[in-house]
Amino acid sequence: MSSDRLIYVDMTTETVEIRDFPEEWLLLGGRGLSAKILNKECDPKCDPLGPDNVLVMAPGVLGGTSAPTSGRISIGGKSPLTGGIKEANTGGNPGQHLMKLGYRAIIVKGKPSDQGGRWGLEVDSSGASLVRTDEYKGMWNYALCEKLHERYSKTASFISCGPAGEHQLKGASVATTDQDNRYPARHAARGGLGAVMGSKGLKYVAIEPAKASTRQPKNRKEFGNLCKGYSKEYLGGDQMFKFGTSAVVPLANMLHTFPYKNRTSGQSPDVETLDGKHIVATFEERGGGMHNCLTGCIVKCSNVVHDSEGNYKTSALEFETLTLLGANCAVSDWEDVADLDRLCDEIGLDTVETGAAIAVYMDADRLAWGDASGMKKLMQEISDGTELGRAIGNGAVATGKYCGHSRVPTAKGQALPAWDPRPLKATGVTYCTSPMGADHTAGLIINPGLKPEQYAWESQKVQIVNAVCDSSGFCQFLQPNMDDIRGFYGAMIGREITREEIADIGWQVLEDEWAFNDAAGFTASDDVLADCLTEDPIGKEPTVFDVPKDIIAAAKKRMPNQEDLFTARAAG
Amino acid sequence: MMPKVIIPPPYRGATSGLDEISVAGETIGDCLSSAIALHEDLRELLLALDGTLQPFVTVVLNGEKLSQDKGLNVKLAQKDVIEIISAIAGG
Repeated sequence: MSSDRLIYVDMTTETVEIRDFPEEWLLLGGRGLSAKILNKECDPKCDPLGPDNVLVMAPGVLGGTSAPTSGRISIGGKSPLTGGIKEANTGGNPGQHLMKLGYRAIIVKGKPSDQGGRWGLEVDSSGASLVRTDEYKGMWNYALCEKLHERYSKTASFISCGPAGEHQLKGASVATTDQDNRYPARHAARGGLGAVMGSKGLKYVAIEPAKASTRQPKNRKEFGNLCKGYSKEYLGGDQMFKFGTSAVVPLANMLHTFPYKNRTSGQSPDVETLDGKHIVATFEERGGGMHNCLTGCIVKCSNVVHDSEGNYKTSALEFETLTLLGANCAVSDWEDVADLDRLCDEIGLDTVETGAAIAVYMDADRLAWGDASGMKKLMQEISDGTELGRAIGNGAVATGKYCGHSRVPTAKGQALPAWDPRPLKATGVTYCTSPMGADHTAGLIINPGLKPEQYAWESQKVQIVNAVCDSSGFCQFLQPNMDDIRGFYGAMIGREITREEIADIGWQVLEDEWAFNDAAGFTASDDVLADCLTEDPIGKEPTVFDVPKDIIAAAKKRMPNQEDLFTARAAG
Repeated sequence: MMPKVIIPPPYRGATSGLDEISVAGETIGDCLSSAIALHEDLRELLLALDGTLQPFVTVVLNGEKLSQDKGLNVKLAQKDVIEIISAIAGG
């Protein structure tokens, strides 16, 4: 581990430098490492699409090891959508490959003077270098990856931005290729980091692992036992995600958190036709199936969806996409949502932000509810960079301004995901207080029975747990708890990590992120939700988000560690 | 002593926040019916329209997962603990 390195890329001078990884950052990875780097290297007041923003790509602490489902990667930077710090976490194989090569992060700075130029970053065991690749300008992600596989080996993995990122749109995602290294179907979607990548002229990163070997812990026997034990327990347990998150649709609807028509209701009349069970039902006849998005994943929550002819259509058709591009836009057919999902992956868009933006557009009577064909045309407009396309591609707030429509459900400028804060008030506290804005992966609490006096602790607890999980490389769907993670860390570095240490690591991530946001100009007055969420009730016993300010504020003041902090499972 | 039903967090809105309830019943089906009698909002969360378990619900009896096709006729002892697991999370 002492030979680990950082890759610094300067897009202004088109130079790459490899530096040693600081020893004091040994237990930093993923989200935590990104926050540390951004506080050190990025001016919080910078223009997110300017040369001073810094784009970080950081695998987790356990990436590249044999720990199950530990190869997630964090993409970080100042978000052009929220104006604050952003970490978007995704799967695929780049995280595993970078760590096996000994690279703890890629740090991209600057901006080329030739804004029409495109570059690729090539990473392998000998180092990293930039290549000029204007021929890939404007390419959709799938076609790009096909071309890249002609240029690089079949074992290479890729990180890329699509036309949305190249147009520097605030809803743009960063794509990664999945375990098979073919499909750019995994996305670090939230917060517009694809626009940051595009603003720097960086079209792709190609990582060639060749024969790089698995990273070895200091205490191999203990680590191996932990891997075996955890895998056995997980595979012998509930395996909550064996049919993917799309199977959550009916229960979410019952809990009034399957938003319909721009969140004017928490239930959709199309719940039956949007139910993920229909996706699973196609596997036998059409092919496709469940698979793991990264090497070493034991969860296998990702679906591979084929069309009626048996051809590949899309992958990772998730609950959030079925909600925001489906129910929230009154689209009733899951097959249309699959088409839209593919288009978002191609163009490089966050399905949540894009679905929310289109729902605002529909709510403003600019497009009929449920017009999936019209939505597909909007996607083409985004790809083409038309005035309308730019509005939609810039997200829900921009779309609201374009249409003169004020009903825009957001927190810190980012559109809400499926999980609604009106029935799930503790989750609403997360949306208010998380440095990420409206991000359920920052800390999801699905417990409508909580009392108000419990909201602050429940939100703080899960925010700490998820911060540690997203720094570790573990997938949230593996659902490790803090005791699990500190056990793996301890075996990795050869000494025990105490409960206090792991809790401090998690809290420090949040503090680093809040500090960045404070310096960027955020205040407590920004820890709020859009008016429609505090004024428009939904639910069986109609309710609004009415959590008092003092309870929201309490979630940001560190509370004493309690037993459940270490036993609560990551939840996103 | 009566069998205990452990309520998962997503279902606690239906039980006004209670995380476990003790109910009378000779079988799992009886106990779930008793729970529903106390908290009607549990009905659709637990049972499909035909009275079978919802597909997203798993029942764990004294730590052992019951397969869906075992049905609700499994007989109980007084100290038994029934845990309801619901598959919900995610993005």
